[in-house]
Amino acid sequence: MNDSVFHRLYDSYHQDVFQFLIYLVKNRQTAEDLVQEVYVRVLRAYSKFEGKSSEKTWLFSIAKNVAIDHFRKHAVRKKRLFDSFDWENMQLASTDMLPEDLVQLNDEMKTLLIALDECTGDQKMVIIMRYFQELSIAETAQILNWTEGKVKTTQHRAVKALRQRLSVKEKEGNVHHE
Amino acid sequence: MFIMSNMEKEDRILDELLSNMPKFTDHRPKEEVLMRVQTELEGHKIEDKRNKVSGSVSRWMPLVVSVASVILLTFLVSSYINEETTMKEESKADRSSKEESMRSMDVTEESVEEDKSIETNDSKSKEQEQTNEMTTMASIVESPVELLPLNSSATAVYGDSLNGGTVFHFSLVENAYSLPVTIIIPKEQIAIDFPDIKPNSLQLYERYAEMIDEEALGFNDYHPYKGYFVAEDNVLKHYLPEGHGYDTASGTSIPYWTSINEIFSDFDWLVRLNEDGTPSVWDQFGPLDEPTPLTGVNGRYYHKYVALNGGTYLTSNVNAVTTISEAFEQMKKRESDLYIPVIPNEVTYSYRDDNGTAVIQFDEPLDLTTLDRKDATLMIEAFALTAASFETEVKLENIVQQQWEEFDLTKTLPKPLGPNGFILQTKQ
Repeated sequence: MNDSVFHRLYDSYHQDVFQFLIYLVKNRQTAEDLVQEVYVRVLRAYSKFEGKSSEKTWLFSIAKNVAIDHFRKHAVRKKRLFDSFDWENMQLASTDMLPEDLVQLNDEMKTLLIALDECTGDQKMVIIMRYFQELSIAETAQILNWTEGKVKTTQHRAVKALRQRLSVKEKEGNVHHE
Repeated sequence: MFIMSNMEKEDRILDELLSNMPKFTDHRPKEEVLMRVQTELEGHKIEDKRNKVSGSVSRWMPLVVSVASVILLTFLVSSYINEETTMKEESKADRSSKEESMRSMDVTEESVEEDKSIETNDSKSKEQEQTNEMTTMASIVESPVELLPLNSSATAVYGDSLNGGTVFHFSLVENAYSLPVTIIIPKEQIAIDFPDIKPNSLQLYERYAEMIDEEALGFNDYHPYKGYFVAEDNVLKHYLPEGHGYDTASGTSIPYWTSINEIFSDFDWLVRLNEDGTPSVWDQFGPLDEPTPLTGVNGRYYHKYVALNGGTYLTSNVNAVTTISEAFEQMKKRESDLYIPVIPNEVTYSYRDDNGTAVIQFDEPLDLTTLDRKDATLMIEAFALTAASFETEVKLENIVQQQWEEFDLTKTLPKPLGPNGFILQTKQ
C-alpha cells in the first residue's frame, strides 16, 4: 500500500468525507467503517485514477458509492430488493444519531435531519453535498455523474420538499403543544 | 415597500438552518485509521491470492464434487442393501443421500447464503453464486502458503539456517495451549511483501498469520486474533470486539496471553481496548486500565511437548524463572503430563558461569547413543534455547561424542533464534 497517498488524502479530505458519511448514515460507528472502506477502494484503485476529475471529486464519488452500497445492503436484508434498489428515488433513511453526536444539534436541526431522511435519496444527497459539504454545483455534478442542470433541479426540489416537510412538522408540533 | 412572502421567509430560515449545520469530526487518531485500512487491504490481498490459486482448482471442483457425490451415493446405497432393508426404504435412503451430498456442497459463509436466498430467480446470479461457492470451497482447501520442516535434524532456528530470510515468531494452539514456532520467511518473499522496510512482528503477523493453515498442521484454527492491532512505538494496542471470548476462562486467556508474548516479541507493552477505545474489561481481571508489560519468552526453560498430531516439539513453560541456574534446574523436573523433561532421570549435571557463557557439566560421561536419537538432539537444543532466553550461550561438557548431528560439542552451542522451526513457502 502506498502510505503517502493515504496520508495526503487523509490530511486533505478525511474530515470532509467523514462528515459526508455521518450525515448520510447518521451513525458514527458506521461512518467510521465506511470511511475506511472508502480508503480501501481508493487505494486499491489508485493506480487506475486517470486524473480526469479532481482527487476530491473522485474521493467523494467513491464515498457516495460506498454509502449507497451500505443502504443497498440494508434494503436487501430488510426487503430483499436487490435488483430494484434505486437510490435516487428511494429514501436513504438511517438510524438515529448517537446521543453524543445529537448534543450538537438543536431541535430545529434534529427536525431537519428527520425531514431529510423522508426526502428521496437524490434530494438527500444533493442537500448534504451542496449545503453541509459546501461543494459547488460543478463538483456535485461530477461526483454524482449528473449534468449541472440536474443538480440544480434536484436541489430546487429538495429545498421545496424540505420546506413542506418542516412546515408539516411545525404544525404537528404546534398541535401537540396545544 | 417590499414585503417578504411567507414562502421567501421560510426559504431564508431553511437556508440559514442548512448552512449552519454542525461539523462532525472523526476523533480517531490517523494511525488507527491507517492501521485498519492496512489490515483491510492485507485481507483483500490474501483473498486475491486465494482466488488466483483457487481459480484452477475451481474449474475442477464441480467434477470432483460430482465424483464424490457418486461415491458417497454408492457407499450409502450398498450399506443399505447389506442391512437388508426394504426397497421402499432404499429409495428413501437414495433421496436422503442425494440431499446429504448436496448439503456437503453448502458453504457456511453467511454472505453466500444470504445472496443465495435473495437471488433464487436470477439464473445469472445463480451462476455467480456457484462460482463463489466453488471458489470458497477451493479457498478452504487451498492455503496460498505452506509450512515446510527445516532442512536439518535440528528443530530450532539458528542464524546460519536463515539464508538471508526473516524470522517470524508465531504460535500454534491446541487444547488451550500455545506452542511457539519460528517461521523463516525466505528473503525472496520478504522482498516481494516488504520491498522498502524491515517488517516488525506486527507487520509480519498481519501479512502471514491468516495465510497459515493451522488445521493442516494438526492444530486449532486460532489465528488471526479477533479485533485489530495498532502499534505505537513499543506499545501494542489490541482493539477487541465485543464478545471476543479471550477472557471467558483461563483456558482462553492463557493461550491468548502466551501467544501474544511469543509473537510480538519486539513490543514492550500491551494495551487491550474495546473497539471504541475504552479499556477492555476482562472477566477475570476487571478493567485493564494500565498497559501490561510484554515479557516475550525471557526467563524460560524448555521441555518436550507431544502434540495431538503426534509431533514432538520443544516448548517453554508459561511460568518464567528469574535466574538461569534455576531454569537449568527446572528443566529436569516433570511439572505436568504436558511438559516432559528432555533430560533422562538418571542424568545429573551442574551449572557454572564461565565469563558470561553458561556451562553444563554432566556428572557422569554422557553417551548420547544410549538415548533416542531425536531426544538427544532435543536435549541439546533445549539447553541452548533455555540459555538463549537469558540472552546467553551454553556449552555442554562431559559428553562422550564430540559431534552430534550438526552440533560441535567441543564448542559453545550456537544461540537459537527460536524453537520449532518451519520454512514458509508459497504454493506454486
